[in-house]
Order: sequence, then structure tokens, then C-alpha cells
Amino acid sequence: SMPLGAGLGAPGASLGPVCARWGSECQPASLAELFDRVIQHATHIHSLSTDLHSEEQNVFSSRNQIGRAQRRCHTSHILPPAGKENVQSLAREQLTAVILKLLLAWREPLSQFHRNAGNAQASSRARDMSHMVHQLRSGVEKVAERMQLLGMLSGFRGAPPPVGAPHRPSSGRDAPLSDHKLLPCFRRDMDKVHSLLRILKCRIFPEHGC
Amino acid sequence: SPPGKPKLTACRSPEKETFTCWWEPGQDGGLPTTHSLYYRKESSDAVYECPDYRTAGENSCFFNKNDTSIWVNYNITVVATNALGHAVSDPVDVDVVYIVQPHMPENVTAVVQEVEGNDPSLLVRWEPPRKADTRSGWITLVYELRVRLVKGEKWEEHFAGQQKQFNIFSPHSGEVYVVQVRCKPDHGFWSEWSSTAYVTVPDYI
Ligand code: NA
Ligand code: NA
Ligand code: NA
Repeated sequence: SMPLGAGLGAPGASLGPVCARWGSECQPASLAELFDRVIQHATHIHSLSTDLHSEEQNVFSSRNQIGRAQRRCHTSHILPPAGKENVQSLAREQLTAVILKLLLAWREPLSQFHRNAGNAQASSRARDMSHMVHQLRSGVEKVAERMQLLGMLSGFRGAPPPVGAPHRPSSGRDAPLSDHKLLPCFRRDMDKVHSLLRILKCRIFPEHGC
Repeated sequence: SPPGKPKLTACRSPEKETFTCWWEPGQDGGLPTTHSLYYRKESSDAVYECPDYRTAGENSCFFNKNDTSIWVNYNITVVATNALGHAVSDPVDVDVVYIVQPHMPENVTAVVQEVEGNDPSLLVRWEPPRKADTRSGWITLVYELRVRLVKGEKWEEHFAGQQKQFNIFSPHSGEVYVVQVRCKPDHGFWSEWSSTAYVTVPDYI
């Protein structure tokens, strides 16, 4: 029944128009439906990143693992490691801002990953991931706009620059990520996005399966 | 002789708020041996010793809420020491997000539902494990149930998604069924099967 249906996750698919059904009459999708779509999309991206991550672990299983624990994600400062209480103390506005910042922060690394991809398969995967993250960010922006319209985000200024805005130049800390460093960070951030979206949804719709 | 090399066997979190790691001692060197667990969090050089060896029983280390963060790798090793030397386990990296195994669902009930003009069905209901904070969205669980005739051997499994109830249609007239439910978070492990609910289908043929 949701327009994104089977196309979800396919390269180039979008999260669909903001209506509940295809056809002549376009009923605006409810905020709860919009949430369900972006959460579903985030689930899909996370599961894809998990697949890629485990493939990569097989490839690198012979690699010396020392030093792995010292890796640092370029997005660590946006939402540092936390326990439940830290996360639950974030207001709706903060949750929304963190989600959007995380998604925006992957725009440049993913396109860089795409440009540097060593083979056609990696290149097409990188392109797919870029597309999906872009779609997810658009979807979350729609959710945020709707929440604002409904008066659920007071003084929300967390919306990052729109698509196409110049990206902050890479500092040393944001040095290009190689394949095997990028994937664990990406996967972790997609879990953050996914978890925060659900917490946000449950805060607004406690009755909807929370 | 010095102690054998210990092995970290598992780390699990029941609710994404605390976690426990277990190890097996290596070969006994024939001398009194102590085991200590050490951990280091990603992006930090500080090494800490296990905060609590008691709560989770023998050969284990428990991390309470204050010691537990998600979205960070814990690099964990166990060191066995006796008078003649020590042995270090292979290290294990865990992010608590990926080691969640919830407790089993609770209050599983099954009742016969009779709707005028239809054969009866079995309505199975349950609740999430009390410790899992599903209400705030901190953890999301999906459920699976299995059902069999009390006199039968073969389980039939049904996936219920995030629902906390499930309808089983066309049960056999006059039979007794047993039902169990288990749950799983997004990227974790299935719980144990719950305690059993029994339901008797009235004779309706
Ligand atoms: Na915690
Ligand atoms: Na212990
Ligand atoms: Na849930």
C-alpha cells in the first residue's frame, strides 16, 4: 500500500511522494506513516552495510587485527558513545538534528568512496549507498518539516545546509577513509540513525507498537 | 607449569543497557590460578579491569548501566595468572549493539476465539521481557511462536513481526495445543523459548 513498496532500496528509488496511495487521489501520508517509511529505509541501509561489512571481514580476516580498536569514525563527535540515559535525555529537536547531521556527514565520504572504488562492483555499491543515504536524508527532512508544521519541533534549527551546498573541506581528522575503515563506521552510524528515528517515533506515537 | 590460555566464550546483553562476558580457563597448570578481565574502549589508551566479577557468577564479568555504552567497541582480554607465569586470551571486540540476546517473552497465553459462523481460532498473546525497554524505542523486538499438538512431536513455527499477538486458524477440533514464544532484537540473537501455554480446542465438528 505504501508507494515506495518494492522499490525500497533499489538504486534510484525514492521514498515516494508524500501521499498514502498511488492513484488519482493523493491522500497526504500521516506523520506516523512517514516515520515508518524512513525507519524501514534505515533498516534496509543498515542491513546492506552489515552484509558489506561481513564480506569485508572475510576478505581481511587474515589481516593483523591489532589497532582496529583505535579506529575513530569521522562522525564520532556528532553523537559520542552513550548509554540509554544519555540518549533518552536528548530532546526531539536534538534527536532530529543528530540524525540529519549523521546522514549529511556521509555524503562526501561515500562519494569519495565511489570515486576511488577499485572495481566495478565496489563502485556500484558505493553509488547505491550514496543514493540510499541521500533518499533517507530527504525522507527525514520531510518528517522534520511535518513535525515543524505540527508544532512538534520548537525553534528547530538543526537542518543542515541543503543538498548542493559546499561541503566543509576535509581536515586531517576527516582524512579519506579506506574501505575497511569506512564500512564499520558507516554501519555504526546507520544503526545510530535507525535507533534514533525509532526513539523519536516512539516519543511522538507511544501507542504505535512501542 | 604456567596456566593455559583462557578463551573468551561470549559477551551478551539482555537489554542493550548492561552486558556480561564469559570465559573458559585454559589448561590447569596445577597451581592456584586467578583470571582477570581487562578492557579498553576504542579511541582510548586507558585499560580498565572488570568492574564486577560477582554478579554474573563464575568466570564472568558484568558491566552495569554506568559501565555500558553503545556505539563503541570494547576490546576485551582475559589474563590467567599463577605463580609460574601468565597467559592472555585472544582479544575480542564487541559493540553492545550487536550482542543483544533478550530474556524470553512473558505472560504467554493462548485462548480459543469463537466467532459466530466460523471455526474457532487460537489467539496467542504475550508481553515483551520486562527488562527490555521497548516502550521508548530503545530496543525493538520481533517475535516468533511455535505450536504443536500436546500429543504430537512436530512444531509449527510462525513469525509474528513486532506484533504481541497472533491468531492461529483452523485448530483441530477437540485437541490440546502447546505454544511458546521467543523474541529477537534487530541485529542480535533469539531469546530462549518462553514458558509453555496450553489451550484446549472444544469439539466443534
Ligand atoms: Na547503557
Ligand atoms: Na565472575
Ligand atoms: Na518493540
